[in-house]
Amino acid sequence: MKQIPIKLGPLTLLLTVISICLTVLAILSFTTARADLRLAEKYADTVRSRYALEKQGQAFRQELSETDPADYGLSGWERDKDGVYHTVLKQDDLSLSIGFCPNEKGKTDILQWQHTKDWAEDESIGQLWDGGF
Amino acid sequence: MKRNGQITAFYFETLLLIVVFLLIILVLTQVFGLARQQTAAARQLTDAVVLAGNAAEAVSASRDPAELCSLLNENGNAEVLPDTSGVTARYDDGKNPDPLGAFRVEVSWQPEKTAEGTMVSSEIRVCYGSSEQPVYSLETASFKEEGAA
Repeated sequence: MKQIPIKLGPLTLLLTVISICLTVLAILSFTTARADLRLAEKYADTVRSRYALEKQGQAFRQELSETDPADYGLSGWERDKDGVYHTVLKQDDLSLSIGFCPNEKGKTDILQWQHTKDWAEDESIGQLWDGGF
Repeated sequence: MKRNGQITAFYFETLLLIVVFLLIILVLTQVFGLARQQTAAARQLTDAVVLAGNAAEAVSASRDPAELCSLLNENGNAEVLPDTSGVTARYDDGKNPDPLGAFRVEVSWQPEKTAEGTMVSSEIRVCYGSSEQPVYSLETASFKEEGAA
């Protein structure tokens, strides 16, 4: 009776290909999950900073309510041509711009309450050729 | 004699192949498990941040803990703490109001009277399950001017 020899070569090759595919999938899954977590942490930090800034802004509102509007000019706040005072509060890379002006009742109207994030344009072009010689 | 040696080598090679493959599978299972864990943590943190943000907005829109509770309350998921020092609200994993939900949002209410109004400081903690360790927390404040609507 003739025996057919069993060779391990094709089986080894198959298992190697399966292992490589699984390894690539595992690495991709892990890096994606890690990026998700980093993004979530960054978002969490931004929201925390935003509300810390809001807290500063509310403290500023309290300070305004206790300040005589006649003294606003002495407080060092910027005043634009429309008579609106401006101040900017900062927390990490976030800013809160507050615009306010005294009203006829002797109180203060808040005209602007704007949260912004500092952003600088990236003007570098890396290794790209800038067209010059 | 030679044939016996060949059979032994074959079995040895097969065994080695299986052991190496199992080792690779074992390591990859750990990596997949870790990835799943991190994805779950990222999702939980993002949900906690959204819930904390919602609660912070509710604080700035309320004049007292009862009003805060009424803003957060839906399906009986929120209640004022017995000493009125804050409000607790619960949400399910989909961030829907649920009295038995896993997310617990604790909002403290610390008023401080001033000449022109009340400064309310608030710490918002979002816990998950029975854990007392918050997944996320933030601090905010709201100045309630006297006579303002």
